[in-house]
Amino acid sequence: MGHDSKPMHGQTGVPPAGKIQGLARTLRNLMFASLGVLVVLNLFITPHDPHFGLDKFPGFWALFGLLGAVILAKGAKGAAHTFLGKDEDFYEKGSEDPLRLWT
Amino acid sequence: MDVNAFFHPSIFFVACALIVWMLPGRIARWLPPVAAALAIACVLTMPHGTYMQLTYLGLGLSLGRVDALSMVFAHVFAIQALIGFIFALHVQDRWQHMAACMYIAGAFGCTFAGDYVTLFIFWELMSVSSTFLIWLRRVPASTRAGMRYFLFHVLGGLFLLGGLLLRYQATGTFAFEAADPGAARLWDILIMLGFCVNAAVIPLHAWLPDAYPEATVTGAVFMSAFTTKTAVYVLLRGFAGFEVLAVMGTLMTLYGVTYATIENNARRILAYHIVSQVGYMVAGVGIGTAMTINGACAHAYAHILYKGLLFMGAGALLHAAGTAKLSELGGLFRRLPWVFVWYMVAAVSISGFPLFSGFVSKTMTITGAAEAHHTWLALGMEVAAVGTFLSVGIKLPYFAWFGRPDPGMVLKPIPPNMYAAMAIAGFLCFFIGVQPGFLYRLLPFPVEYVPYTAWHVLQTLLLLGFTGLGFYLLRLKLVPEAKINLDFDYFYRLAGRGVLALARRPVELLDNWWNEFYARAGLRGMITLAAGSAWFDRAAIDGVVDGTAVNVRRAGKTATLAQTGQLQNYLAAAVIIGLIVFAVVWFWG
Repeated sequence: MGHDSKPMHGQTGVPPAGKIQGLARTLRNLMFASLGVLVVLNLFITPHDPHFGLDKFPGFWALFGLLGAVILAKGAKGAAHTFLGKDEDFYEKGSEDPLRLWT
Repeated sequence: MDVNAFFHPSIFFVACALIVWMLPGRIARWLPPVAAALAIACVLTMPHGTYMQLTYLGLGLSLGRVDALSMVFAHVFAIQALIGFIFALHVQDRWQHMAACMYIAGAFGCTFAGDYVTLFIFWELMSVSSTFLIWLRRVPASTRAGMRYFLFHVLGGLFLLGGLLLRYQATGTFAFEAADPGAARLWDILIMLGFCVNAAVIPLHAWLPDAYPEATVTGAVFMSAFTTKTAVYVLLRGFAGFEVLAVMGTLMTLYGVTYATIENNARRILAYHIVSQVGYMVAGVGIGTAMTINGACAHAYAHILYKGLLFMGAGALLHAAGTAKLSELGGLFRRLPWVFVWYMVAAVSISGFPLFSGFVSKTMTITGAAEAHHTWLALGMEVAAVGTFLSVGIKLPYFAWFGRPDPGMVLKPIPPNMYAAMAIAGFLCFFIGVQPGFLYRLLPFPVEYVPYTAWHVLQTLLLLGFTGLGFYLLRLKLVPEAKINLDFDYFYRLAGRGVLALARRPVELLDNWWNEFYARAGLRGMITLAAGSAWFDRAAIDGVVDGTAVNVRRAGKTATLAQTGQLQNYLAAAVIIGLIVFAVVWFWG
């Protein structure tokens, strides 16, 4: 199957940076376009049985997905940067003194 | 009832483990896939009924309860066993194959158990043998993680044991039947707590993301399938309709994805996604309608296949690159494209994309929750679906295969059997996604739910598409960091250290005091006594029974060698002795 064990840096098979940027821009525009198409479709295709009031409005689930992702990412990263995140050797370095974890 | 129609699949795996024990690793590794294939044939031909009822120590045990519910799980367990053993075919270490065989034997035993004693025995067999799947990675981190894993599962086992004994005392039966949600007694709660430990219900879940990333590459694939899903099965069997499970399950879905969003180790991200995905099943059990119970079963089936595939993908990365940390990986697309393809099949399956397995099972649970008027729970599960796609569908693959230029690390070649196993699992994820009837026919209740309506497909695409937009906007914020995150294992590590501190301070003090006393008061008398008895020994005893002393010393030396002082050896010996006793009673009792 498709891989080999040689390191690959500095070899000729990698496309130039400009080409990658162009590809990335095309992909991004494609993404925006398809998201737009989905929202337009939502004007015509609506839930057969909305379970609560708001989900009958077109675009509700689009907003839900976007806000859900942003709030989750911001909230989780915020927690990691304030009280959850520790150095990788956090548990090892405390092992000399059993009560070190309290501090 | 035709007893011959049922053959317990655990027998294949126990027999396989015993044969593997006696063979060198390079031959032994071919046997477990054969046992798994036999198990598949056995499960497919199994008629419903109750089999293998026996009396053991005066208790009526039932080892073979086959009905619609146990069949769903037995079906996927057998398939995943085969996939897992194909993935592990290159492993020369026969101990790993033995541990995996015993572990799967335990899972089948739990699935067909008709009473709590049988369940408990196989439950403990699973927890012991899965501990070995962690230890056999043979690095210090996995030794420590395995010990914490084992101790926590002992705790869960004690909840279960306490509950089933209290229940027997009060009701006089060990029969494993559904508890009444309206009249739960103390023993029901204890048994449910025992099950919840294995189902990784928060806050009892921390063993899972603690231990799974430290297991062997192939061991994690097995563990991701059996422990939590066996627990989901027994919860379905015993505790359907317990409202508390509905709430805890939904919290699990959210808790898991939140941690997965900030984790750095790929296998730990996937471990948190087990907590999250099992949350959907636990919520389905708790809501307890026919639709959500179907949803929980269907999701367990789909989940075992795609989660196994995700762990195979991350395991292949770890095998090739020597690390599963996203902060050290990146740009591997050009060198490991097939691992990427199969990983992505699993990633879109877990995210619930149309055409893949998660879509036909996850939406069933969520719709079931909404139709049972648990609107907030349904919404919570939708947020978790967003988080699932965000972390496992976009973040992990983006930073492992793209993200930044290839750091140029040397990659170990990936054996072809790993690719074969990934291809089989990937095919099944797709097959169930396009042919949901295959899965729905297995479910315990008739299925009215139709996944492929224009609205369901559009809703899913809107939800996931705009999650993708969210990632695009925040991609610089979500760069993985070389950090770990505190979880509830902090508290049980603290408890462990507390015991250590206790041993160090008061016990050490007492020990010192006793030594002092002994040295001052006891020693002089002892020396005098010893001198007298040594003279008597030399002059009288050894003169009469010549050579005894030498023989005793030799026997003592042998016993010393057997006692290695390593817990894993004692544990393995205990399991083997237990199995021999069981076999003797089984055949001649």
